[in-house]
Amino acid sequence: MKALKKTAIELLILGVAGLLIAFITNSVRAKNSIKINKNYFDIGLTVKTPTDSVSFDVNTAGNTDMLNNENETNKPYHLEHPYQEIKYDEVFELLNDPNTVAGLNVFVDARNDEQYNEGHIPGALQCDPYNVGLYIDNIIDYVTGAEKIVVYCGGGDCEDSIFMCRELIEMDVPMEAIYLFVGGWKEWSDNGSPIETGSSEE
Amino acid sequence: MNTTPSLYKKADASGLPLLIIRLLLGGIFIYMGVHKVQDPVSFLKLIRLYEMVPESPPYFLNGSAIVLPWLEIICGVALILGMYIRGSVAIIAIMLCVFTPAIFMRAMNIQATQGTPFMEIEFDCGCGAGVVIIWTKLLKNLGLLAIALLALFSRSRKFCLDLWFERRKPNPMYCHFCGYAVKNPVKGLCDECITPPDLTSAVPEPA
Repeated sequence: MKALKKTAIELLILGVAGLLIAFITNSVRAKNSIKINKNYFDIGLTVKTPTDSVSFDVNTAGNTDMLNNENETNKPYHLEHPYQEIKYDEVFELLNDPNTVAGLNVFVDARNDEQYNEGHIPGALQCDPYNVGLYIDNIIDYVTGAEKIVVYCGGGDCEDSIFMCRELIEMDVPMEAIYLFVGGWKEWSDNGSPIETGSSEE
Repeated sequence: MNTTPSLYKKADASGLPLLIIRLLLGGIFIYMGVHKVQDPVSFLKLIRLYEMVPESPPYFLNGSAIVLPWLEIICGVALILGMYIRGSVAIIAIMLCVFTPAIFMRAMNIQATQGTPFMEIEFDCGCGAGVVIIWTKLLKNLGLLAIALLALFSRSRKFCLDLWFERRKPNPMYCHFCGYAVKNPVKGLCDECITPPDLTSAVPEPA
């Protein structure tokens, strides 16, 4: 019994020490700090679907792209979201669109520094949805008033682009301006499309 | 105590098994904890996939991502130093008892929904080792749990910082010399340490 009591006390001391150190370091770290009250996985607008199955098959946002088989087979875990999607061909065309050059169309890369620096869509601005505070100043001027904002992340199972769309909504960007490029970086680079490397110069 | 101590007790009293387990477990958990602390956001994304903790309200999931890595590091450090051994091993055992079934259930879910054979399932379980083949991970975790339990029930405190503190503030639970836990130490020593070695029987009588 004495040993049990001693073990319990040690457990408590270590637990409390762990808790304190964890929260203190979390609050002072410059990057990748986690805000305890923020739901990072909120998709923005709740989508009520008739079937709430565990397998999460297809995106049921109101678009006809559902019929495209590509959406079904490669995504074992695909969150339903309310944002309009944009396909690879359209994104590629937008790259050379004069509106893009004029600043009316903006690309937002929702990945972390390492992935962004390795390669991103030319002209894309980085905004990591898990560290929005650090990147918001980079993009706020460009996204307010933009006609089309194409948001992408890794592609495949990655859902960070969906959460970035929510962050944009919270920046008061109208929903009609937001386009989700579901194929993401994977589809862009697999197609041998032009890329840019390095950090954004801002 | 006149009974011959069992092999297990002898091994335990030598302090070596506990030392090896402490260094192994401590090293592994410090390494994994540090890896997670460097990128808590990735860890948060990974633990979310287990669906064990509700996403809303967010403080359960976020709290786990913030605290667990540091808990691993602290337990690892405590083990290597040899302080609060039972407490840290208890925490490690609890973590393993929670993570291992979670990994198993997730693998079963993947098998059920995607039809992948169990032995071929692999994913990043969030431990810090990247994408792993799940059945090997489960075996490794069970092995770690087994040695954690051995450490939990070990009565030795040799080579531990705990013993140094014990000697300065004697606690009747441990032998002050070798650190072995005994019920009623005589003069603060266990049976082995209080009885001087019997040399007379070994030395033959001079002719």
